[in-house]
Amino acid sequence: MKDLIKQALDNGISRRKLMKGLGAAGLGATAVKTLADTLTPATARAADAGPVSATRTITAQGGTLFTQQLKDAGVEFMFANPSTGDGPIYDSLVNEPGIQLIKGIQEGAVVAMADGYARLSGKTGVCGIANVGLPNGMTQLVNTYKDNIPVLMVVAAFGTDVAGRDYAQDYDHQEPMMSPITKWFWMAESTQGIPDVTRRALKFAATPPSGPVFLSIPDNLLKAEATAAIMDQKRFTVSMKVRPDHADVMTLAKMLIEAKNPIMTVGDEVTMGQAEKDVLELAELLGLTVAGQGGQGNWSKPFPTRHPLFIGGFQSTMRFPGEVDIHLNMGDQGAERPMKGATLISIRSNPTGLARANPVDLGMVSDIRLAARDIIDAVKGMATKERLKQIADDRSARTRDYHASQVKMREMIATDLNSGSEIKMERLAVELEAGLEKDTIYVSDCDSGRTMDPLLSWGGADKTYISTGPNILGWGVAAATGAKLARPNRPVVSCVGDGSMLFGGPQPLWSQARYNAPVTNIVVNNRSYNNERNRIWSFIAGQQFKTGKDMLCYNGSPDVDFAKAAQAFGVEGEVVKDPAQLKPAIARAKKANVDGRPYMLDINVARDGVGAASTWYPAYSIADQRTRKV
Amino acid sequence: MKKYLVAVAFAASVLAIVSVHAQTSPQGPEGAAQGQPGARTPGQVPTTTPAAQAPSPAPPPGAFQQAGPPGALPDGDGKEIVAVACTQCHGPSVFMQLRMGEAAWKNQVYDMVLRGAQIGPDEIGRAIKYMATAFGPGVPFPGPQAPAVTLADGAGKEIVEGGCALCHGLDRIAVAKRAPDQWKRIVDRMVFFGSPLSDDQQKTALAYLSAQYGAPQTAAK
Repeated sequence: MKDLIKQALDNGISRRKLMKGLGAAGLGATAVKTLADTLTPATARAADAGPVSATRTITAQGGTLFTQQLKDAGVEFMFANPSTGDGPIYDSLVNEPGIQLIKGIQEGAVVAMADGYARLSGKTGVCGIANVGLPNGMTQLVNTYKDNIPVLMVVAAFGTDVAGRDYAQDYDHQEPMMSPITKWFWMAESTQGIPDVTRRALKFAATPPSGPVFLSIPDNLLKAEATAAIMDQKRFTVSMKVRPDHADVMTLAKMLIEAKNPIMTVGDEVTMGQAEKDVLELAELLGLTVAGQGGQGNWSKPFPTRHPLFIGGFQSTMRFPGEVDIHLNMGDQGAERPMKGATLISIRSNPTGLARANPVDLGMVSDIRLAARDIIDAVKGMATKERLKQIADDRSARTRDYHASQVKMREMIATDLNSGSEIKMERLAVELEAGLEKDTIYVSDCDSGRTMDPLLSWGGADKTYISTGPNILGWGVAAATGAKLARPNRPVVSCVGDGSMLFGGPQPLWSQARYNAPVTNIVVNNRSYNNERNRIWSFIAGQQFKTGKDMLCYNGSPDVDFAKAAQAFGVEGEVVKDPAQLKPAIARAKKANVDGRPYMLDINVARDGVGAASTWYPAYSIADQRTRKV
Repeated sequence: MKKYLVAVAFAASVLAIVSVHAQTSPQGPEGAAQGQPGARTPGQVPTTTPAAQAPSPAPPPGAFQQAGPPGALPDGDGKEIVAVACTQCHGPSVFMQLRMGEAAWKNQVYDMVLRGAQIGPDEIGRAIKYMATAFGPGVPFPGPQAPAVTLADGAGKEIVEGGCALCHGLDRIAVAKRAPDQWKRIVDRMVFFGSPLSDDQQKTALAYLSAQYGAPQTAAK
């Protein structure tokens, strides 16, 4: 050991080697650390930090340093559109088969593809967009941020040698404008530091509660060459699988066993935590009535909607189950609301969201799956199997009856509305339920179409539903493309309104065509921002309502033929106007998908609501204003 | 007639709007008054339930509120269903100023059920009949009446006045000229919503509206 210490003092051997040697000499861990701290100069310890976490050191352009760090972090796809400054990034991929580029042709579509990929893969979606197009990408990044989806957005910024001179596409300090819609943002400060800021960005994006991050790399740093360490990303991966407090769990278990009329609400954090089966097991163990998911900001439906314990959306006051005494909220931001007379216990993986809008009686920060497991174990430890079965049977009888009545109610509605010459959304929903495969991933971006949702089956062994909480339209088709990339062996359907399709444009279809993404794209086309008009007229009840003049929301004149638009972008499709044609049209779409091609169904559905019959709009002819016919 | 369309269409969608908004609105301002949480001992839940005692958070600016103070629902069979099921999401005033027939109210109630209204199959018929009776065509409106409007003279004027004024004031008809296909769509929808016009009366009304309040036919669909 004496030799080892001398060697450390004389030659400055690495801290790691020193500690290993001290350990081998018989010192305990604490003693080793203390001695090493004493013997190792601070500068040497700092220098050690790189090599310890590095998988390799390379000398390359900044663009290569960036993509090699991505590669070592397990990134397989990069969604992108080009800009001049990004050149070194894409140069680096010319001979790099480990990262597949997926090109989009508008920044919003690029971001939404990365977002859809992240939601379905559970991995961080990486997108590189043109610096000048950053605001385009920001529109879709709001969905990503609000729904806590891990995405790394990178741009090649103006070089440090010219930034701030007010060149045509330069504006000062673009990074801070990302602040409200990212977890973290940063500008790389050196070529050598690019791998380090990249691995840091990936860590922030993926660490729960996850979310989008923004990285700006000046283009001169991307072009310059440096020697830098590529990091082992796994060593920066932090587990956030936090268990709930044991005493709280025991208290909660007792309350759930003794409750007279408990309810459990479920939300997106169940999906994010992959806790679907565990939450279902908890519900069945105790016969808990389940509500929530969908609406009120949720983007997923983790609990099987056809399960007899599920009763639909959550409200603070509900006819069924009536007066609740215990409200257990499992990861649903929207359902964390007081119910009169009930004790609210909210378990959230997102500590920022917990008790943010409303008070809770017992708030618990925990991984949702671990919390469900611990509660299950605690409950099983407090009551016999026979007693628990009796409790579950007694409680669930009412819920099962209510659930059955709702199924009957929906069937009655679907039958009643399944007539007439126009296609109603409910009819479309019935045809989709019958025609889509049970393992379909259904990507919904259709505000008016929410009445379709209860007529289809979600969760468990049924279809997977994903949407966005904020409803920033224009997301669906691009997100479905990313979803198909993440889950190529499952059917993927996008269902968007004509409003959403006009926001997002046909650009995502171009990516579907280029990359042979077999996605069925449904446009629920009522030629209107239907719900927007309804809200404007009803909430305000102003002059538009009083005069019947729809100033903005009617999307007809000209009527857009989305099938033709799709064809122009390389995707075949058809317009469907006759209810009888829905079934064969869906079959044709499925056949195209089976053959490896995307398909577009432009389904003309009836408008409904305030002013639905009116096609009036404030007409104006620019041509008529001319005094010279040019 | 135009006004009629608007009112009818309004009736068809107001509840849907309220429901959708309820799903998308924030739940209230942050920091609902509960004081400092203090140090809680793990495993203990407050014996009083602040959440249950807390007043409902004030709705955020712009959130949908019922158009006026909640009025008492008219008596009638099915009232108890409507009074409870509908007000889980919104006040009654959003539908009390609407006038629709049974077919239209059925669509509306169906829409509400699909958006989460808790009404069972054995009671939905009574709820629809109650709405069509309490808020059907011809039932007087609460509050100030719509301003009196004299429509242009012409064949069919009386039919339009009779068919439209059951559900809304006549002032809505004259405010915007519409092409014949638009008037046709509006008249069809009025009839669906409960205007008791015969086939011949519909044709006469359509001819009157196109002649007196018509615009050139456009390519608009």
